[in-house]
Amino acid sequence: MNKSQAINLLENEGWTKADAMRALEVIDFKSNPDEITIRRATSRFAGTELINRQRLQASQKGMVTKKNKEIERTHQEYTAKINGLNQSYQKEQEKYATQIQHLSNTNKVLETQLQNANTQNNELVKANQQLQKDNKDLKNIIDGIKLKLTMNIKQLLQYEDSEIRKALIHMFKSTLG
Amino acid sequence: MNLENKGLRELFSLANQIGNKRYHKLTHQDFEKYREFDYWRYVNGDYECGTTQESRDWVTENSDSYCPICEQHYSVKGGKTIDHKLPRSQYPWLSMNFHNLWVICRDCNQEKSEMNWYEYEHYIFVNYHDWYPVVKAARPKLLLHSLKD
Ligand SMILES: [Zn+2]
Repeated sequence: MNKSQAINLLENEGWTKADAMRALEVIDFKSNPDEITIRRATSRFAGTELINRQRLQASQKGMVTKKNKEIERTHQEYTAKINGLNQSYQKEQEKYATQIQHLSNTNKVLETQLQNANTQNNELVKANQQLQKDNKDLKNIIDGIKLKLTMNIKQLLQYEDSEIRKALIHMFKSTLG
Repeated sequence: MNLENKGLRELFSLANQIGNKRYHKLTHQDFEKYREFDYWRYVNGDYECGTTQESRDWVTENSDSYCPICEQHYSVKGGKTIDHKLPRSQYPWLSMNFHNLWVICRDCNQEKSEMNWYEYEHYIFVNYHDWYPVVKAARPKLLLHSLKD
């Protein structure tokens, strides 16, 4: 059997041409080997090749497992991080909610205080207005009395009586100033 | 306060002191009322900027050529002025009440100054007896009465 016949044989059984050529390297075709010789040689190649491939597959599988584990770890890391962030976010939110509640309470207290102050201020403004009017009213009443007094005295001064006149002039003067 | 030993003059003087007091330290609201007249009378409420057309029209409608008190021609008495019968420093709420305003000459206005109404009537009765009827006729009866509300 020559080399190309041997390659054909192996290709018919599902080998790749490259595998077949590598398996047949150990054969000396000058001695015109028979099918048994070829099969014995190629089965040895197939055995080592299978082991090599199994090793390769195992190492590839290992790498995949490693990668998977890495991905799993990363995934866990990020999950933990996200959980942590969620927790701190929730804590912050609770903190702000408390603060808002506190401010709202303070606001209510201030509102009440403001209302009270406004009520008191309105009362004072009214009292002040009343006082202003009363003050001026009293002033006008007294000025009115003074004016009436002056007029009456002036009228009485028309009469002749030196003693009364003197007393009246004194009284008149007291209404001045 | 012992009033028994005081003469009439002293009693009047005491009453005057209290009557001229402002209970209010011119509150913010009082001051705004007080200023309302300035904004009506003067451009931008500023004496230096001159008088407004509206207030000048009012003066024209409410005066003739002679001061109602001294009966002199305004031209010889410093011109026309708007007086608050009840002074606005003491009656800020009547600052822009037209019943409280009248046109008199500058000299009469200065002489009247910050006097309360009956104080002014008394002053005129004693010092310018002939002018008294006019001043009495100008008495702001409604406003004086409104103090009792
Ligand atoms: Zn005059």
